Amino acid sequence: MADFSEESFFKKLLSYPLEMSKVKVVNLVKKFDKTVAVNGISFNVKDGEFIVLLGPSGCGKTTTLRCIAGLETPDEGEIYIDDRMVNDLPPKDRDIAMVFQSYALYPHMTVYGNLAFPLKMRKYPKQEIDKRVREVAKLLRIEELLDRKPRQLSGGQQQRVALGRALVRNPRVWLMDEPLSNLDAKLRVYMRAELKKLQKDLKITTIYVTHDQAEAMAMADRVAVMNKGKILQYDEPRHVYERPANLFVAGFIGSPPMNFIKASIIEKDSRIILDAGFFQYELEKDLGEVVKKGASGSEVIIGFRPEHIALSKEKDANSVFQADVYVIEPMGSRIVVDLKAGEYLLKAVTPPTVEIPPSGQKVWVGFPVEQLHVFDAKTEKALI
Amino acid sequence: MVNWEKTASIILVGLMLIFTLFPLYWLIVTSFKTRLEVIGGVVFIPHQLNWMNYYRPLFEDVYGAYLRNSFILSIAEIALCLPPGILAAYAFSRLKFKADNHFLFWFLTNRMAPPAAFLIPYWVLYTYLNLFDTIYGLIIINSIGNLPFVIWVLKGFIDAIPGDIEEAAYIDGYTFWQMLRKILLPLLRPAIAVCSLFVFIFTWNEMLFASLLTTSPAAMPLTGGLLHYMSQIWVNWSEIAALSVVANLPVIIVIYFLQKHIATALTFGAVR
Repeated sequence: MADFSEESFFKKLLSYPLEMSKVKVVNLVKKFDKTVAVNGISFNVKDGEFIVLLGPSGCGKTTTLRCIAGLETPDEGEIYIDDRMVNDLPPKDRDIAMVFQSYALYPHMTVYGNLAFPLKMRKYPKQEIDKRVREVAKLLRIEELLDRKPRQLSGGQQQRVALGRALVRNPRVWLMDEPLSNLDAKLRVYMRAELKKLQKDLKITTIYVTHDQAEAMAMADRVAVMNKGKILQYDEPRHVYERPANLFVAGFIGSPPMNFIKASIIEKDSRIILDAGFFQYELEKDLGEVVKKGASGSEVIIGFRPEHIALSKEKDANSVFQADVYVIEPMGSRIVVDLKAGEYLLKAVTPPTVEIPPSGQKVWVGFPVEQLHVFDAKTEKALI
Repeated sequence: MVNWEKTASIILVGLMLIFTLFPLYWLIVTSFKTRLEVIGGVVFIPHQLNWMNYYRPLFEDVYGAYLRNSFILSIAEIALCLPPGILAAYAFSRLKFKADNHFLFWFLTNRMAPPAAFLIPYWVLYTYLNLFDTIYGLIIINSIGNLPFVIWVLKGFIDAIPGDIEEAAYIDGYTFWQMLRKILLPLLRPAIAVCSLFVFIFTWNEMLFASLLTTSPAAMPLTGGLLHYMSQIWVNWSEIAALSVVANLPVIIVIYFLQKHIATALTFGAVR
């Protein structure tokens, strides 16, 4: 087992320098027949940054990545790698490396052959090829597999070979298309950390596509949350979680997802109250002003995360409304409690130390005002 | 105790083997018989190997030329049908173009149509175009049946190869033609071998056009020649048998050497 404690452990293994690059995507549009896969997105990636394109299937994240790779031709917009427009460059001239979901190893070549393949094309001398292949194999701990064919490898080993192939020729940008999704859950969590460590240590600019929000949160420097061909929010994972820009992002990030309740804004004696029917929530004056000013109508959606809910048998200062305990799902480290309130089924997450009344009984639900989200029902934009 | 199941299967397999192998045995035995042995009753083992039955038609008659023509024709078919077949199969498998499915179906129907239906038109056409009684005339007409076959088989194989692998090669710095050479062709090797084998066999066995669109030893393949042998005044069964053995040999030899690939090709899908 390698010793990861040293800061640039990985880098010391490589005799060749690794490059970093900026990537800029401006107003990218890609259509397939009549469906618009990517609808005018723009973002930039800094030197050595790890960004994740996150979204449900069909949101255009993979298409975006393929456009950057040069495997698809954009219909509109520009793609820059290091201030050079690469729209018209074929993939081979873009100096990028890509890790595919299926790994796409060459089945008829050994691991060594797979790793050497990108170098052979670039006419490296044999010795240099051998040196680099062995360095990368050592770095990824696949040295003893060099003579095997891909089908003789486990999923995790194939994954490493695919990473190695992307690493061996020192590309400007790493593109990764759901590289971990074919691994079993345990290995995925393990590789997640390893991949992040590798990227941070080598400082390779990386664009990573996934539909797994946990993966995005864990790995990314910045996350671009995508839906229907658009980027809805592009920010650090912490901000995306704490301050989602709209309803979709709020619902997509976090597990279990955020609870949403429809409400209308009521003004009473210059106080601003959110009325959800089965409870009312009074906003502090300045917050209320912000909500009132931002809202396009009187309809809003209140959002609060399951993990921010406090449950109590007796009413206390934080309590907002009363709900029925519906189902209790003990997870070991935490308890997920399904609650029935009005027409809603809500989820709450509590530490196992909290005592929950059995299903059917009533419980008080509360959440701190700092953790409250309010979205415009029509525009779905976050108001606070 | 008698294992009935086993006994029954041995008998069944034995019967099937007799059914398939006896004609071959009879052909080989007859090819070595003298004329007297052929017409003078049932002889299972000739008293000596009469090699003249092979020598005379091949070296003293024109059948050597027919054999040569068969080889030229079959090998030319492989050389002519496989390169465009691979590219066309790739196009049908990977690319989207207008009416691609219609083209593919049209190619296939070329293969499905009964060749005899086109015999007269071709006969007339070939006479006009001076293609009558030429090897390249036969090469062209065989390609019309073989090319669709090649395209159809290879398309299936290419469909089974994940596109990611090609794209990975592009990203690793390869152009289409380099990718074709380094990735696709090696992966298609069993398929190409099997296609070549079948094209060889189809062409080698083709008799209708061979016997009617050619007449001279300069162009006629062995199948046509064998047919014409029958029309002579008397039938030398031993020589026909000898020529039939000669006609069978290349196919048997090719299959023997390619059987590993045939097995691979039939259990395809194991590319991953």
